[in-house]
Amino acid sequence: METVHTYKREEPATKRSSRLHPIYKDRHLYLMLLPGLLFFIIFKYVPLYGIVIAFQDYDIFRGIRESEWVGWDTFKEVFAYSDFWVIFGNTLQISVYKILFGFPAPIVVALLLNELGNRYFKKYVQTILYLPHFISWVVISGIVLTIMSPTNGVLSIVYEWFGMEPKNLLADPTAFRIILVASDIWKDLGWGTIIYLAALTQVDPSLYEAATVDGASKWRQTWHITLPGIRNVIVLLLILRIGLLMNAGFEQILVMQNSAVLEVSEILDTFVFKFGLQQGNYSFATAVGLFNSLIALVLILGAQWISKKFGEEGLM
Amino acid sequence: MPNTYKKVMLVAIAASVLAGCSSNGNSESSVKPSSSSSPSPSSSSTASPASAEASKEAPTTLKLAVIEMYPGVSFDNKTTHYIEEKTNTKLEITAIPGADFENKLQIMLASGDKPDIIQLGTDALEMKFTKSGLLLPLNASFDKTPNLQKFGEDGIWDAMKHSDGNVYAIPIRGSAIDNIPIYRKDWLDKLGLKVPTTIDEYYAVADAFSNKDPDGNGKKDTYALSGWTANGGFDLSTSDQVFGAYGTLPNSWLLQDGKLVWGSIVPGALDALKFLNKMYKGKMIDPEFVTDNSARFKDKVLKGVIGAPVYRYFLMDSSNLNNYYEPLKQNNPNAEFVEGGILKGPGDSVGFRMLTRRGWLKTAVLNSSPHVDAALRVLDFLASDEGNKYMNYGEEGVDYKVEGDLLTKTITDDQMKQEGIGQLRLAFNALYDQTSPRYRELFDYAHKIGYKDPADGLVVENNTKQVELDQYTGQQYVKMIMSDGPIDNMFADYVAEWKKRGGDALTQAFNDAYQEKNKQ
Repeated sequence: METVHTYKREEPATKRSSRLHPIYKDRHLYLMLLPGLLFFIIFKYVPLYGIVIAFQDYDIFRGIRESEWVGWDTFKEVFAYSDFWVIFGNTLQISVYKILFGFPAPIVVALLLNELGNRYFKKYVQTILYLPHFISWVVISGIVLTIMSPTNGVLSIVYEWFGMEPKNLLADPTAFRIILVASDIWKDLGWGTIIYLAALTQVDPSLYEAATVDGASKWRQTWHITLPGIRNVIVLLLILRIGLLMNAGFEQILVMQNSAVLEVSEILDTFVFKFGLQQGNYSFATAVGLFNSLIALVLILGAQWISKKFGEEGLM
Repeated sequence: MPNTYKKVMLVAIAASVLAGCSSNGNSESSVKPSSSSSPSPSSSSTASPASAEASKEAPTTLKLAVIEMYPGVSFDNKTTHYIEEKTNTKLEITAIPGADFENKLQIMLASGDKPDIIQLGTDALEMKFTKSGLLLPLNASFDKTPNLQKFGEDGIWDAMKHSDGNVYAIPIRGSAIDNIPIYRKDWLDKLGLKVPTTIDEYYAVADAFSNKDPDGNGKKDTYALSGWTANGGFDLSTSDQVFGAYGTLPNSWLLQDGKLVWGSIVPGALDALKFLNKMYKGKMIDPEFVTDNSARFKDKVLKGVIGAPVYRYFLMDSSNLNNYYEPLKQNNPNAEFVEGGILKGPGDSVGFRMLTRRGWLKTAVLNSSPHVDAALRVLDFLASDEGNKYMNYGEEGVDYKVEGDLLTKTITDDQMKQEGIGQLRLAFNALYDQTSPRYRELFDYAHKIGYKDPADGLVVENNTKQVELDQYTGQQYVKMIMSDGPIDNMFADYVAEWKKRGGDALTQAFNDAYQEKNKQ
């Protein structure tokens, strides 16, 4: 046995040395990869161990090792929670609205910007569009509150012009969702155009020349040259965006919601934060978080599969 | 073998995607607890398990985790050194900011960083800690801490007592009531009205305050009532005078026929909500009552937007630390508030919400502390007349002077904070020596019209549903106040759902505790 064992051990060793060669050759590249790799291992993979909390009756003082195992009980509790499906529905609904209206918006704006002749005017507009991206949601929420205020806001003056009674739109369930989606688009519209503008520079200018010669209008050129030219970028970003479907905007909603619109604005993330973390139900929070991640995984794989079906490159 | 390898790879890939998905968002919650460990502030104090007698020479190092009373103010100040000197200790203090305070404390403890003395806020956390056996029973050593024993003799220790007969935490003591009904006196005078005594009179005053332009600027910009939202829950206390007139207080226990009843679900609450709904339709409630926070609410009271809420009685006097009177005067020199009483309704009225005797902040000693004697020494000193007076006012002749029976501060509020006066409220009993006769009059009046919570001091160990139910109540109440149509069915649905969500069980638990307590 011993001899066989040593023999077996030696063979792959020689094999490995020959395999090692390219790694050795590119060792500097691998070295540069290392910090990123370590980041993911330490901060993304190792904490995955914490998922076991979802299957325990986790007591923060007894720790993972000594807490009691309860199997799927926490998940049963989650799904039986009176508001869970309402919250789940809200998450999907707000997120779908944001994708439906928020995803095409930067594409349209990028196309419009691309058509601008004056370079300085273009830069000027771009910079102004970027700005809101750097403002935190807390500040934006303050701005929205001030604009929407029925007692002393800008909007109340507009209402008065039309001889209407000012309403508190932030306390109106229908209006609140529109405000959520609109302020989200406003904040990240400019930022989103950057990638598309970069992609637009890759479209071969000779195609436009040929089209002009053939007498194609601007609209035709956009439809047949520009959009197909950036199609792969659009699909890639859409897949990534769909992967984030379950993140309906934690920060934004947390700072903007109030009791009157809680029923339409409570999403999984804010619920986990309030019920799980602030009230110390760690197992519950982990179970909801895990459920959330699983859906995101399914979504991203599904989007990937569909894009492959349509002959696009996808992520992997 | 290869099969297992494949499986491992699959799991790894799945995991990587999972990690990728959560990387951008907020699901850190799902995996955080295991990896988060707060760095412990210099755990160099390796003093051997305490021998209190020997410590007469060398000061004992104590570690404290307390709520941050004055943000940004260091504990290296006169008051801390005074305590250290008096109790022969060295205090290593970690101040935890008030927001999310309890969550941070729990993570700190879970990561193995065990202070000797901690502070906590909610009853729920106190129950959780005692259930895990973390806290030291304080009553066991009352014979060694006479001042501490005296601190709570007037019923406080009874209120703090758990079912096992032990006291685990010291509450911070202050006024038992902050809020009473107040009315803008200058508005009443201008409109020729009197302070209302019945609910109908209140409606007339509210209508005049809101729709007869009491501030005389020609615009509809004043309201009788408003409210605010804090921590995701709607605060209902600003309209307690209306609920009180209908014989109830929402989110509070009432005693009816020897039983505890939850004030939010009794029929009187529906009548009060109908009244508020009528007020809302009549533009007497600020439409922003649900979107404002407490700071914006306060601002509106001081700016003269809201004229008849239930709010701080110290709006009427300038001799207190949180001075609301001077900013009110700055905004409007004629502004003056006057106190009102309990409104007479169709049935029996109840008074105004009092604060729990169990305190908004509590101090406890950890069982695991190696320096129990020193920790108790500090708490006993702070509970003593000498220690408590110093914590309230500082050093006599330097920070304050006494003339007759009136005590006057000779330093500004800011200097007071820098010196650490009132910064370490471990066993704190707020004193009112410095206040004017008018303040004391209001103080006494407020305590007279307060409704003593019959469940106060009941220790219900399984009360985790409470927060959730209160949030649900706030949400439904707001809907009913703002509703366009009739609200009877909405109220019936709300009551049924409240019971189903754990309200019935909670009521049962509180009644059991109440019966148990009264048997003794």
